[in-house]
Amino acid sequence: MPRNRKVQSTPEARRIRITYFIIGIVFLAFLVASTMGHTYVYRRSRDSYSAMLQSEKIIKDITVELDNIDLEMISIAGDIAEDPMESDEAISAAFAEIKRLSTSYESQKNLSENMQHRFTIAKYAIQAYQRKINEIKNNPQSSDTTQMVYRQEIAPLQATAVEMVSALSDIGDTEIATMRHNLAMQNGFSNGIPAGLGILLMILLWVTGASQIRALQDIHEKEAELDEQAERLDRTRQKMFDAAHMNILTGLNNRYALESTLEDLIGEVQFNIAVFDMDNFRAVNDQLGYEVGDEYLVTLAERLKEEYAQNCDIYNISGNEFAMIFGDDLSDMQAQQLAEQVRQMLGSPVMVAGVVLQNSCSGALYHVLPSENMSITSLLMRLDSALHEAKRQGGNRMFYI
Amino acid sequence: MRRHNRSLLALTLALSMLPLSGCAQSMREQREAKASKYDIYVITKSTEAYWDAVKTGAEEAGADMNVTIHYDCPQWENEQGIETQKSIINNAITNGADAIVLASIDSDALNDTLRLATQNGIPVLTIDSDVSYTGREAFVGTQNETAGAIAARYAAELLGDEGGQVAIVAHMQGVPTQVTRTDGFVNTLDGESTSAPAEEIVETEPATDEAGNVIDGEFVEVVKEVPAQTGDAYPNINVVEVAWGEGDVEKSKEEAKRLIEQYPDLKLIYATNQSGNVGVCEAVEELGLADTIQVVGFDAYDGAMARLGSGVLDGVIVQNPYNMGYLGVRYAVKCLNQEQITHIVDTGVTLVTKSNMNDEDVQWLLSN
Repeated sequence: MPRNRKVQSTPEARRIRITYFIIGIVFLAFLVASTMGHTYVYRRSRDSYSAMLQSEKIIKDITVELDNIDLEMISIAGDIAEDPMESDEAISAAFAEIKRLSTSYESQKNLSENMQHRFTIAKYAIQAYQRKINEIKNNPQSSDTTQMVYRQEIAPLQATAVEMVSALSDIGDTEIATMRHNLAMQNGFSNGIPAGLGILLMILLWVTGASQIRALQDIHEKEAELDEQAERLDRTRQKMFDAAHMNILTGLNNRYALESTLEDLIGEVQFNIAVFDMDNFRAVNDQLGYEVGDEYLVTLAERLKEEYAQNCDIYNISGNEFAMIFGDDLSDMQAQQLAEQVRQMLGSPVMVAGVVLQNSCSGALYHVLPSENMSITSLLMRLDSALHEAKRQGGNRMFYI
Repeated sequence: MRRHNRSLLALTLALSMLPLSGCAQSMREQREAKASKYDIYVITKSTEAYWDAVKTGAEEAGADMNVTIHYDCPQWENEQGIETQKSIINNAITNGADAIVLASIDSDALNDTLRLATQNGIPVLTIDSDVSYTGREAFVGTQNETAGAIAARYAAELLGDEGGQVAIVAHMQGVPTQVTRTDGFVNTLDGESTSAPAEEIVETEPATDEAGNVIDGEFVEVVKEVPAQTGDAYPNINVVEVAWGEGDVEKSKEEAKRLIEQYPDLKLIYATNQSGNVGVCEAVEELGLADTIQVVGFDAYDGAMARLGSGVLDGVIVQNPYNMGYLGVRYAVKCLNQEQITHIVDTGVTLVTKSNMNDEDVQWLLSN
């Protein structure tokens, strides 16, 4: 039984193919998600980092300016400034620079609300500091008073301003920590999503593998089933063949079988064919019934099989008519003797259903040469007429053609 | 077919494990990044609005520096409140506080409790009001003498070269804020400075028990301030009297009216607290002397800005409670980080006048 090689076209195969396609897509998504996630995280980190550096630099610059102002103020308050005008100018320039730095700080993108709030408060502290310095500038006092004002008001204001500006750095640190936390979260996502996809892929493979195995099992089962069916069919065919070529009663090959054999032999080889017919068999059926008649025929057939099945083909071509083919391994004489022997055996007494039955038997033998190109029908007709001739002459004899 | 499947499974498994290990690392980083560095207990005097600004400042500093702030306060600033403050500190010690930032109701009563904290390795910082316990790391707040000095210099500016008579309506006799604010004012006009930093010295003295008896063999460190002599800066200005408003608006008003009547040449009244400030302003308003009598007072209040506008009030000294809270926590963290800190941090005061009352920073200060 040939296997069904066109598995690909079954729905099962289609399903498997689609599943593998989906797995492919998922795998691709896995790679893309992973790559995109990591790229995103990398870019975010890089941008935030450079923004932080920028912020830090501005904060540091503002602090430096505040310290410069303080130095100038000390020299003014301590009355040690070489040129107070120059100091004033330096202070003005420093505040201008702080203003510029402030603007650039506030113009930063992605400045957190907290940073903005803190920067505003730092700016207020700087404003208060600047206002006090301007008051001193606009309303010069004695050097003692100026020193006092410096120590009691300006220095604390400067310290507060520096402190509030420095606080921005700490927020920076805290925000870096928060950023790290967020990045870690994003990293978690960018890792987690591919991991999820990977697991999904695994499950898909698992499921597909299982369904494939199931499908294969199904195929194997179906194949076995088909093989079994084919075997059954073979057996049925054999039975039908047997029924067609066998006499149901005696189990011997029938007339069709004989014709089939003859078809192969005629014109090909030299052989002898003998037919035998029980004389006056109808009387057995009429007097003892068909059942005894049938039993009689069965017994005769058994005897034939026992004695001659190994040497020649035996046929039960109709009711009480038997045929035998002797191959070319037997000479014509040997065949003649054997046929006579068979005729006598068939005519010998037989015990059937507790009764001893004995009917004589007539026979005809035909010596067929390969050169004789005759039909099966004409061969059988010749044998029949020879048999009739034997019967006409009183039966219990062999007629040789 | 089975084997083929298995190797695919192994491959997928390996691919999944890679990001999963990344996941674990991310989670670890998250924990580290989010973990608060310290637990800082911030304790103030009462539930009054003034302390809300301190609280805001402290909490914002906490958020900025990634530390956890535990804010607490008694309901009232009284004897009961002192006990409450003690129990809050004790709880903080029990709960493993990393630092304590305290505005003490009383400058002495909490010393033992605070000593217990420092013995447990918890640094203590004071804000707004200092304590006499020398083991505290720093005081962050208004230097009241400085504030008095600022008021004095402004008074001198208002009076000009001409000078004149000045009276004081102080709030409560013997109360530290009153004493320092008055001294700062008077000393400045007299040409003496008692303000802290440059002249702060630490001396060792024999320790005394609560009754004031000397304990043998025990010594305590005492911070002493030596006034700097600068000579009489304002010879034309004369402080004629210190009157007592007793922390009451009506009493302050009464005293102000008496002073105005008693000293016809009086040019300026200085009030050392909010109730005195309100009382003096009301007296000046009622007498219709806004153009004659100048008023310099402490602490802003609801009607203060209107009075600055109308000229009844000429200047008001405003403290910065937000900065106290913010810097208190900030210095506590610095202290915990083993950074060098100054022991006295002046959070500064702002003299609010008609000319600067609309400045952004002043508006922000007043809105706190």
